Amino acid sequence: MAAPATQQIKIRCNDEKEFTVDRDVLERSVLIKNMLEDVTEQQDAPIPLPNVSGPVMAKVLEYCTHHRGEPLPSADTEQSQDETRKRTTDISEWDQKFITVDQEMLFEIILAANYLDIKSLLDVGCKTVANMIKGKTPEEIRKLFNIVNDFTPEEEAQIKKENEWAEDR
Amino acid sequence: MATLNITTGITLLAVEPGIILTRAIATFLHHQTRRFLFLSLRNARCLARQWTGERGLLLLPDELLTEVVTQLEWQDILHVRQTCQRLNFASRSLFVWRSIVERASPELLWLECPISTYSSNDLEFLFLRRKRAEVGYKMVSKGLAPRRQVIPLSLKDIAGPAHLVRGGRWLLLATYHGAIVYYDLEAESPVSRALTPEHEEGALISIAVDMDSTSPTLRFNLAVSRNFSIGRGDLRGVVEVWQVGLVLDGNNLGVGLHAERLASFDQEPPGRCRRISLLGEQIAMTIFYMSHSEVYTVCVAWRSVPGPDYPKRILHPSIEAMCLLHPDVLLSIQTDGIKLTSCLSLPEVTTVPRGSGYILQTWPFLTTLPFDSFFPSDLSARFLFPDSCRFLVCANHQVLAVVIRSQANGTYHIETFKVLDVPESLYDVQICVSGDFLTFWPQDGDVHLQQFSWEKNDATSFPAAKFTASPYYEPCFQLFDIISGRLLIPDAEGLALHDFTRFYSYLTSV
Repeated sequence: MAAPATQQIKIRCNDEKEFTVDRDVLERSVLIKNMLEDVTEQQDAPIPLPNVSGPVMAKVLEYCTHHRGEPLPSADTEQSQDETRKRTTDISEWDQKFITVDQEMLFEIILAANYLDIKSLLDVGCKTVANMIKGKTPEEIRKLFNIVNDFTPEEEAQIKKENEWAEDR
Repeated sequence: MATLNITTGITLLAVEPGIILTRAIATFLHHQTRRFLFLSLRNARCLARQWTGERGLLLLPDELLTEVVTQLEWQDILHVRQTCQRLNFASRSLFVWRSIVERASPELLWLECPISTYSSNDLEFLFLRRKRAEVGYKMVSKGLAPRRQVIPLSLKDIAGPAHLVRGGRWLLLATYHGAIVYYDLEAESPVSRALTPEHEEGALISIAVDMDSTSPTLRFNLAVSRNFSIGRGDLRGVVEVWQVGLVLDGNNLGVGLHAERLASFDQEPPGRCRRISLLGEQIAMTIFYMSHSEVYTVCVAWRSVPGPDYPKRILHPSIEAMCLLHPDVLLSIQTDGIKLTSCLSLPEVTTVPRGSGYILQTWPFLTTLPFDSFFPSDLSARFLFPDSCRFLVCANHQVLAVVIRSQANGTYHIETFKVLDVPESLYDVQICVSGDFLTFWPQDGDVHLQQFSWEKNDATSFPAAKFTASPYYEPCFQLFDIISGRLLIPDAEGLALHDFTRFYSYLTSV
């Protein structure tokens, strides 16, 4: 690894909460990795992360610390798309335990992973949501995520009719 | 008006929560680095979302909703799309359906063009059509009949077998005038279009198809044998091999077929060609040679036929049915069992030996699976895989599945099991197989449909269903395709196209 493992980086979340983290842990985030590579001179000011709150960042850092040192997915988007096509159930045991959080935290983690560009964490989050949806009826899915049905009655009837055949198995 | 100081040093203007003045940002950020622009747009979008007060799943931006939907199986995708507008939108993304189709095995769904040429709607349609067909086969067992559409044909116009090309879109048919024509079954009313030119009237035609799995678009070789009378009861035979490919439109999607002739030579010996099989460089024909009153099976390297009396390899014993499994392996079904022969190890001859003395006593059989008095009445199309081959045989009032696996040491292992008993009352049935569904029909009877398993003797995963279609018996038709849900049955009015994806009126609107 190019950067010395001991280098410590400070970050500041949107609730003023600050973390001091080993550089290699933080570099799981491609966003931060790129930022650090762009900045050549030593900076003492913490890196501001206005979209992530302290509690969410703590969770994300837990993930990054556990997975430190693992190879980052290739920057080639085609290749990483292939990765996501793998079957959904393959979440490792540690990741599964890690992502067992309430819904609000789950979506915050997904948003943070997307913002910070941590592909593997984003995958774990999306797969977890997908696993929650599996086997549920439309009404059950709405209830699970508090989704408001915003179809007109005509649209709803039409879309229901289009998909009716699939239930007859 | 709210002014936010974002810590990258860029000021974002927002008129009201949730609405960002992107034009203002763009102007303002003109002199900033791209990285900072990227970061601030990310920030702006996230902030916008926070202000709109959305919670839960819908907090995610569209691209992340798509990411979630991509992880789902097709049935869950159809459920999610019924919940709200945004998930409905996400469920129709190209990324979602490409991923679903790419995960599907080639046996489940087969595309005639590269996946990148299809729109999200096309991919969804093709994938769900396959799933509809599966539902459709079960509807038959509940007593419903599939939608029927007749392609008007007089049976006397048909000079030989018809072949539904893998994927179920293209139907090949030999005409009374010696031409091969094709129908695009995706068209509203399929019409006959010429593929190869017309020849002499009244020829008896046999065809064989060899799919080219290396081509990114649909391509196959087509062997055509024409037998016609040259007077005094003598038959002459001409064999042609054509390469058939897709005619592409501006969007690189198939709109038709075209054929290019690769080889043409006289059939030797002359006589009625009963069966033909094509694979790679080899063509195999079972011919009844009248002047010898004998049946020969001839293997020819068709690409390099120099002229009359060309080199060929001949198997003499009477073969009931045969097909090439590998350019070098000929499967033959004889009255005493199923045999595999390495055709390239047979001696090459230029003329057909006279008299009945030409019987190879010691064939280099690779494997033999003996049966007692085995009289096959029909052999289904073969399905070739990198290390195995499978097909069905109808013999002795049974339909047998035959699975042949190549072993690491270069030998082959033949396995057979009974798929079903054909009732004694049904004489000489016609079988077609696609995927793990088979359909069979006797002369003037009902059409039977059954799902079975290639893995083991488990024919009862759903019981045989039948529907009335008054079929005419015609040998050697491959007219069933599970991918498209199409089954063609020759009947009194022509070729009846049964569409298993259409039992319900609302499906026709798709």
